[in-house]
Amino acid sequence: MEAFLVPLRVQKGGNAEGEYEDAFHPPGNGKVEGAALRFAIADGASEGMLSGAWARILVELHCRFEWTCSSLEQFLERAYQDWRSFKSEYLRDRKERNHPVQWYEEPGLQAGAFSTLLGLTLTGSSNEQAGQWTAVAIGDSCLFQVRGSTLVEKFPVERSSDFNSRPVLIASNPARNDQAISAIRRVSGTFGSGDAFYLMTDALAQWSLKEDEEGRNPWALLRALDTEDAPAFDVWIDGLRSTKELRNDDVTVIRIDLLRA
Amino acid sequence: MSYTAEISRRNPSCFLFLIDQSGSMVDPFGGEESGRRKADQVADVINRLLQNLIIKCAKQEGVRDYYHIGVIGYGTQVGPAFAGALAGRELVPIGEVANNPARIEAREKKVDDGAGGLADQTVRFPIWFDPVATGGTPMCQALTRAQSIMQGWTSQHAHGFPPLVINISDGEPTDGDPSVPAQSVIQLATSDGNVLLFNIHISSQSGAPIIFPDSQETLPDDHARLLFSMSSQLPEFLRTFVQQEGINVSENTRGFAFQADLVTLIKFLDIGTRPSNLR
Repeated sequence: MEAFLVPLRVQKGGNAEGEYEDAFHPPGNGKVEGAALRFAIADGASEGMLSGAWARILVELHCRFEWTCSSLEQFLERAYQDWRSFKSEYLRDRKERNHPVQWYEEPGLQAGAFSTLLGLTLTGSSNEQAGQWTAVAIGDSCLFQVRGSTLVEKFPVERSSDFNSRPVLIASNPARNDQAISAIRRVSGTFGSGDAFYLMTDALAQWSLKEDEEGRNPWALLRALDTEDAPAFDVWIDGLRSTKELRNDDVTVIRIDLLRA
Repeated sequence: MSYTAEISRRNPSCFLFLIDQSGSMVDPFGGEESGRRKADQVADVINRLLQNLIIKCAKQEGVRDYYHIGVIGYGTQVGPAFAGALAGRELVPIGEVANNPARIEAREKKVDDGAGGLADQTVRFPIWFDPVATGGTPMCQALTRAQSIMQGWTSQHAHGFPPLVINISDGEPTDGDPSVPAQSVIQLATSDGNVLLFNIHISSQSGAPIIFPDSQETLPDDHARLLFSMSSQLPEFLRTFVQQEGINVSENTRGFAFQADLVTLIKFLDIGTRPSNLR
């Protein structure tokens, strides 16, 4: 099975590039092949400490984790281990840079980081561009399956009016994850040759759903984004923000095209 | 729609605190048996509000300047009350406030030890203001000063999220009826809504704390009723949040607290995604 991957991202308007706190995996673009293909996107909460790093840990782990014979709790155990290593390395680095943790950082570091996770797994045979997909989601990062210019599946948020700024997220602190464990959503389906999947963080997902609900077909526009005639992604996003069509937030979309057989 | 403007570093909002430092603040807080003075309580309230607001804006390695912060003290004099490096300044980006407390104290705090018990933990507690109690209570002058500062801020940030002015007092002005200058504060506006004026009443009366009441009837005395009547009615977005906290609200609910600190207010400030599992 082969797919073509196009990731696009831009940080919240007014923020520096290094302050971007979404994450996606795999990191590159271009062709990917295999009997099972994994993709993930995550949105680190703006209110929280080191959320971008936590989001990166989750997407990377999703793409190497053996989901078929494991539970969410086992996934989280591995994620907590990665987080503890990252955090101790981070704190050691702060010390070495002679930049000790300030009083206002302490509560956030104790509370930990928070992030959404949306993971997609595609499985199919090597000589057919068709197969099964499964997705797992916590929070409001979204998956859309598009065939031609028709939206055939949306997950986990169904309507643009369902977004709010208080989603249940995955916490790096195990004591805060009871809600997240019960809020996990899973879905599966089938795909065919020529289908496209979009994984998006909430701001652009909300815009896309609204456009679709109002019959304006955002999928053609999104498909054209990486072509030569299209405006640069950050310029296009800036335009939507300035007309208040899009909330000012980090924006990430990865498009996965199932190449035609 | 009002009160929907983005709060960010390029579109900051503003908090202006007015703190009563008059001689009457030497009286006991919450009844003789408390062993505390009203001035102690005012200092605690303002220090805790600033601490929580700063933590709300903190990210790793710094505090983002989502707000400009001012503190006007009124007692012997009316004027900017920050000490040390911030002395004399009316409005200061919140990052500078974070990095310039007068001192940082170590305090013991009980925390969950993860095994069903409590453990002592030392936390750093910043202090910007110590208790002060001298002179009269020129609340009218303080509100007039607030009006002038807010006029400047709203003209420079014409589309910003409207500022919040929080007056912390025992409600015993000595320079006239503060309702008139209070009205002139809440008449100021950005394109996103009117400036909000909230009052925190620190009283010698004993009695349970009251936050966001919708009528004067439950209030203990005329001082509380005066401060309640000067306070802004809660705009709809705040009524929704307050209701989610389990407090009954109506269109008459005002930004007023009796013997309470309003730290809960900080939770309502919307500066991005707040996980619902972070309480």
